[in-house]
Amino acid sequence: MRRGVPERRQAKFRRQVHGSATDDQLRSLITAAEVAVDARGTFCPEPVIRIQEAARQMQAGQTAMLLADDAGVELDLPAWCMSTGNEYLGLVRERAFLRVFIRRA
Amino acid sequence: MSKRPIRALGLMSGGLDSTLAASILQRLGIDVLGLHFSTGFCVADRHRLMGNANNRDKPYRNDALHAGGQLQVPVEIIDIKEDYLPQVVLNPKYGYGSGMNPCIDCRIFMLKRARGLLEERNYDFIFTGEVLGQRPMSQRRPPMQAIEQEAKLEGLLLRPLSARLLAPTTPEQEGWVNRDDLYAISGRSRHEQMRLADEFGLVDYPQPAGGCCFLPDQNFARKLRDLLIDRGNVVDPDDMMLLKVGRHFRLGNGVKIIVGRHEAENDFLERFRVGRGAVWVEEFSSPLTLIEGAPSADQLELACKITARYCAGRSESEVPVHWHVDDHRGRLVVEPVREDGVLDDIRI
Repeated sequence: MRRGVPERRQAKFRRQVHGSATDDQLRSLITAAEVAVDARGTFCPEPVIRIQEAARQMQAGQTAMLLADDAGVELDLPAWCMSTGNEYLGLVRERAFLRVFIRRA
Repeated sequence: MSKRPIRALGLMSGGLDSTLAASILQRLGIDVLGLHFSTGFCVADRHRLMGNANNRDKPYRNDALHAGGQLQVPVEIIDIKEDYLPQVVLNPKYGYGSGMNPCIDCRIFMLKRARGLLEERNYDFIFTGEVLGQRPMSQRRPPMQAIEQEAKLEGLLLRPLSARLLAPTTPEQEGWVNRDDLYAISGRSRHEQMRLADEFGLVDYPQPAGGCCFLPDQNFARKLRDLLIDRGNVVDPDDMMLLKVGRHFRLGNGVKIIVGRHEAENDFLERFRVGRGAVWVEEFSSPLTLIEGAPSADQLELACKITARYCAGRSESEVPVHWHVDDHRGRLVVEPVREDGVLDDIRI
């Protein structure tokens, strides 16, 4: 039977939650992201469904910026990336919404 | 040429049972994809909408995604709200449980959707975290068999947690999984699942048996029945959202008010003000009350009195209340409702 390595998983998950891009890189992605998905005004799970659909159309290596005002995306996008193998880059807080960045694996 | 790995689709709520089921198969070398169906009746979604009452800066998470993240199992969220209400909630072939929960029909509906994806994406079988005897309506042996037959999944539905208590399935017969590596868990106790979670290193999972759906809830069911009767079964997703929050009072045919119970509910109701009337008190800390339908003058006054009853000035002899219906705005000075009986008669 194949055995997992839970501690390693947990550590990787914790790293993933913080995102792999620096603040400056995230700021530059506001204009440079290839795909923008606006999910403002929608509630969970709609923002994740929208990024999920966008990701299907994206090429590997492309970046997407999700705009959302459902605070739950802060936890859900890292988890979604962790589960799907996409890269969670991080988020930028605006006054009334979040910009969350991912890179398609 | 290398042999393609066996691939399984699983129904993943994010609860402990479905997470364990995915983990069991993953550990047996099966390529797993979790499907999380969003019905619009998820209790966790409601918690998320309201935010964390103790810490507004700490949002709630989607448990299915979190489980997928922990296991590194891809989880796909599938929105079934549009079809779920008319096809499952309003017309259940197998009837309701204690509230308006059509658990058997719900299971069949989700498994049919999963079967469609199984064929479309070339997966080998479907799994669930069902445990024999755990739930009174859908997790007994006869309904479990009926569910499998109705979903046309005979042999292709594996329940890893109880598999050794059930007839062998195709994955076992074909040798894709070894029956001895599966489990024989039954009943309502979660001790064995918690022991397994410990063994698998799953340290962060929702409390077992917490209940994940609004439909069995008697209070929610009463509000839903009232709405369906009032609207002749024609409702939209916003109506469903609003059933999850506040105190509901029926003021007459086609006219209902929803009174926020705390700041988080008021914030939530604020997002639904467009197209609805509103009542609030400015002089005291107050709920936001939404009015659905076109109230008469008497009904509007009653809405103001009820709002005054739940504001911080409830002990005052008179409270000035502001209202807004369509393009009209006004201010009424009213005596807060004092008698519980008045409210009990119209409370939904």
